[in-house]
Amino acid sequence: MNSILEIKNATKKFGGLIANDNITFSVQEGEIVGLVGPNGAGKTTLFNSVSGAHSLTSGQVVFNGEDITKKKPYEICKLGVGRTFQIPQSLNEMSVFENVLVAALNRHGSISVAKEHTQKVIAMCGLASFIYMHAGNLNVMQKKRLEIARALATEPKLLLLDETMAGLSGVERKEAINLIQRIKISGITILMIEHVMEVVMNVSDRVVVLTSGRLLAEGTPEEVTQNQQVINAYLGGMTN
Amino acid sequence: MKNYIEANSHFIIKFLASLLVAILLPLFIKTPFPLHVMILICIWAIMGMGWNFIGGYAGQVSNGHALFYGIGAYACGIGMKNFNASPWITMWVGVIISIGVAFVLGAPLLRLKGHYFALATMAIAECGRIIFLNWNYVGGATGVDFLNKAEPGWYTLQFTSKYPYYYIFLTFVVLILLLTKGLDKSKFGYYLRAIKANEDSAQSVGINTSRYKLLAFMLSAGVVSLAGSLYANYLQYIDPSIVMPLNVSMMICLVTVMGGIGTVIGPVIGAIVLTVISEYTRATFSSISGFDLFIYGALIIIIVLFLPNGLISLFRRKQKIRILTPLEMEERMR
Ligand SMILES: Nc1ncnc2c1ncn2[C@@H]1O[C@H](COP(=O)(O)OP(=O)(O)OP(=O)(O)O)[C@@H](O)[C@H]1O
Ligand SMILES: [Mg+2]
Repeated sequence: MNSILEIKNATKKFGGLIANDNITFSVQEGEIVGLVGPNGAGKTTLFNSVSGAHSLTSGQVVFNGEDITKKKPYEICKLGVGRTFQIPQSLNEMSVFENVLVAALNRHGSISVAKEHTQKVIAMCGLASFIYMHAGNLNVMQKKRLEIARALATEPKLLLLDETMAGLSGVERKEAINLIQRIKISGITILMIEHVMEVVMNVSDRVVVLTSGRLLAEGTPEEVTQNQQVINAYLGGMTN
Repeated sequence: MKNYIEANSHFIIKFLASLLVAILLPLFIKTPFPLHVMILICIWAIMGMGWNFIGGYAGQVSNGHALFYGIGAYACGIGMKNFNASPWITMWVGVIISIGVAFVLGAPLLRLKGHYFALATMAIAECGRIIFLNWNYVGGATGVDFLNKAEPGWYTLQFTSKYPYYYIFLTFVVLILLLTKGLDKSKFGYYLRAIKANEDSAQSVGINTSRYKLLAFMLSAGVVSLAGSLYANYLQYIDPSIVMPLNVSMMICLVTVMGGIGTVIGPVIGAIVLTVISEYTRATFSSISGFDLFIYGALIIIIVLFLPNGLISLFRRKQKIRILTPLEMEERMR
């Protein structure tokens, strides 16, 4: 297997605050990697650096063999990285269908082809009954699903999911896990931030743990849950 | 094509009906004033539609479009006076210059957000006016008088009657309306709306936002420049206080906002209503100075209060929050 994403010595400072401190890990093609850590650990900051929303203070991000450290968000999206936002950033004045359509235009110049693709993505994400609704009228759960749909519609090779399951009920969670597994089967690599441990441990092939900006541990879900450092720093308080 | 006609049958019917009215109406008008108002409506409609691309669709509120209006007007004025060039050519020279100026100014200006962009464009347009005011070649404050009575006709775009002006300007309105309609549901149109809704979100789905904003700015500059050229030929006399004052920039914005921002026909509706109100209050209350502006302002406030989405919302049914039933879903998704 080859690495689709390599994060090398990534450091991001906000003034005096070191949000990411010399983080190095990589994601292999086809796997699901869970990124976990307590609030403020620097997970979203890392996503922003990978997707180009801001640039690293030092370090390097390599996607598919190409250095994307200095690239703009739209260039990184074109290369094949799709992302969701922890706080949904939907296009509120536009309909759900148009929200996804705009993303589908990333790979399709023609409106009619993009519309066909949009319908597939909408069906896959279970948003079909909302297509005429303005995105601004959706509730938070629906907006999170729309985030996934928009990211998927850009036809990424790598998908970055930022807490797309926070606040879901049991049934909804099962649906979401099912969706993620279908995305994986369609050949998309996933790096997901998730607080819900049940989900992370179930779907991830590997887990990366961050605390206070640093990489604490990395390994299969079993390895990570048995890691004494992780238990001390984080899981001990969370799993119960 | 067949699908397109089906999907837009509403628009096509309304469009053809209004066009018919616009064509036939002057035949029933015997006095010059109403025709003058209709000519002004055409000019403002073109301006509003031009501004709509950047201010309406892309959501970047420019308060400096009088600059491009002025460039268009001067291209025709100077072209006719100094080179005896036909406006049919010089109007396109004006468009090219305006697009070029928009390209050069747009790159730095469009980095600014919201109010800062509005203020910066306003300042740039004022600079432009002051440059023209002090530029001897273009006549400075005295302006350019290019009334060319000797040879009225198609070459000079000068006519003794108002009718030809009206029909020529109406043709431009129709062409630009169709251009807007074509772009409305195109990739370009969707991208501009996405930028207006949320720039970060737009970038994250692969939209080069600075590039599309710049394209919209250039397009809108070109269209407004055309309006300036047409107006100059109607007036046959221009100076910086006529074609480049701040209130022209404001009025362009107002026409679109009043009519319905980011919509195809909003600017046309805005142009009709605002021009009629403004010209008729001025004609009616000419004896009391300033009273026409008072009435005009009061009417605008009333419209804004009751129709915050513009006059176009009068013609649109309110969209309810609509969730489809499984059966409808099946139908739509086929
Ligand atoms: N744009 C910013 N400017 C300044 N500080 C920031 C910025 N973004 C994040 N931070 C800070 O960096 C740290 C890491 O934040 P980040 O959002 O990456 O955490 P997180 O792991 O995603 O947490 P959560 O689980 O709450 O989402 C926090 O202390 C946060 O306040
Ligand atoms: Mg976060």
